[in-house]
Amino acid sequence: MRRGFIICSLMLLVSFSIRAAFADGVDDKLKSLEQQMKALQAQINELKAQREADKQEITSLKAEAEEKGLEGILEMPENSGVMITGYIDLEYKDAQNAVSSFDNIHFEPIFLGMVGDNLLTEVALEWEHGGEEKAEVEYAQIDYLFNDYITFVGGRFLVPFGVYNERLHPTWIAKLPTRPLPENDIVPVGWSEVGVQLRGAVPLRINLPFTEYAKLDYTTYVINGLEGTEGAGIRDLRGNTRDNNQNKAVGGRVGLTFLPHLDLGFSWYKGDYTTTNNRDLTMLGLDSAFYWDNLTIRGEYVTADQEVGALSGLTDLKKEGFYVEGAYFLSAIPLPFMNKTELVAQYSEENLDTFSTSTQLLDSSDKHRWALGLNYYIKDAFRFQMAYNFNAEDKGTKTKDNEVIARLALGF
Amino acid sequence: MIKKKLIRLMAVGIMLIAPIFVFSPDIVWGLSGSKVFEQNCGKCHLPRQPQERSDKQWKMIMAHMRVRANLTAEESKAVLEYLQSSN
Repeated sequence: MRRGFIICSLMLLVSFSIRAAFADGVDDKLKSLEQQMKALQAQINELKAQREADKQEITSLKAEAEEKGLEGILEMPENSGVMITGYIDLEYKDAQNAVSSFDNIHFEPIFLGMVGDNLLTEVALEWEHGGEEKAEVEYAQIDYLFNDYITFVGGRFLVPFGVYNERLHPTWIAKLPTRPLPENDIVPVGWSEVGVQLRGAVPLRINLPFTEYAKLDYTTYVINGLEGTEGAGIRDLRGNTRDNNQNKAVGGRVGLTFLPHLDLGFSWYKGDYTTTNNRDLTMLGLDSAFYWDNLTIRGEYVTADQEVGALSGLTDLKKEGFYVEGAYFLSAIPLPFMNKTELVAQYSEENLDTFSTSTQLLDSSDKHRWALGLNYYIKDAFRFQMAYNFNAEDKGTKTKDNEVIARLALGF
Repeated sequence: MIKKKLIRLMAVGIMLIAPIFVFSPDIVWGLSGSKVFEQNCGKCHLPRQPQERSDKQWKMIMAHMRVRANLTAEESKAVLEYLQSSN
């Protein structure tokens, strides 16, 4: 009996001891787990807070990027920046003596980069005919705005002879799809040269009727100049990136502007255009434009004197031409399509002495053209053009080569 | 020959023009920037909408156009202020 009591007591004691020992282990584990849970909860809360902060930052960055556009990516100092502008066009031409065709004539991105308040770089790359020809640099120049009246330009720049070559020839600006005749064969439009230039404008105190203010502007330059074969067409003398005759060409333009109605300009150019023979090419030009409400009338006259070899018995080649262009915007007509339409009429003619380098014979090529067209402005810099050209040769075979041209042009 | 003609023509032009102009760098036209914008930019193309570009882009474009169109510094400044305040 006593022995049984002792055994039971021992068993109970062992049992309680084991239970107590287990109970202590479980409590420790529970405490440990509880601490881990708390730590995890703290981490989760921290991550949640971080996520909210990230969300807010992303929203803020998105808003900033939308506001700044490209500049948000190309972040630059306050007074500096880079941007791309330019133009592109698509043309459909059906001419009497040629196969009709679509033609992506121009794609010309223009890169502008400004460093500070008075230093600008301009680079225009040009792909013609859908990339059929290699990309060319139309101009790549540094403009240093020295003060209010003088700007220095250096590099390859569009030659400021008249206004069509420098300001009006881009297809989203030109009133008609085709250039006036003398702006192709005498002034070789798309004409850029390497050299230096000074230009600027000064306001003038003047009190004339219909004039709100006036200004005088000037451009003068020294360039490598047009160079090539003696007697060649002027257009074929372009494209020299380096001088090859130790003779720099000089030229300039002086303009008078009576705002808002009248522009007048006088241009000149002179330079040796041959490699070894010292033959000069001299050009003089007049340009004028008149603006009245929705009407614009502009014209340019150019004359060129191109020396050729005295031994051949030929005199200088004389080349002259002019164009007059009228454009009227129908914005006064309150109809949906008419008020975005512009009617254009242009007359141009040229009389060119020509020279055959093989036969040494002098000939002439006289042409004139009537062009009628319209521009429909889908947007300010996006328009549809339609034109019909009545082309005529006044000498030789007197071939007629009328053409109809439709064009979409976008300035961007 | 042409050179002589050119010199004569320029001399006559300067003689005719000089008396009626006085160079005036501090001229005040009293024209608004929008008017200067319309009168100058509209000569060659339809004026672009101010909203098309940011302030910084207009600054670059106006520097480009000051050179290309031989705008005076005052014209350029007036047009830039108008564009930047209207975009």
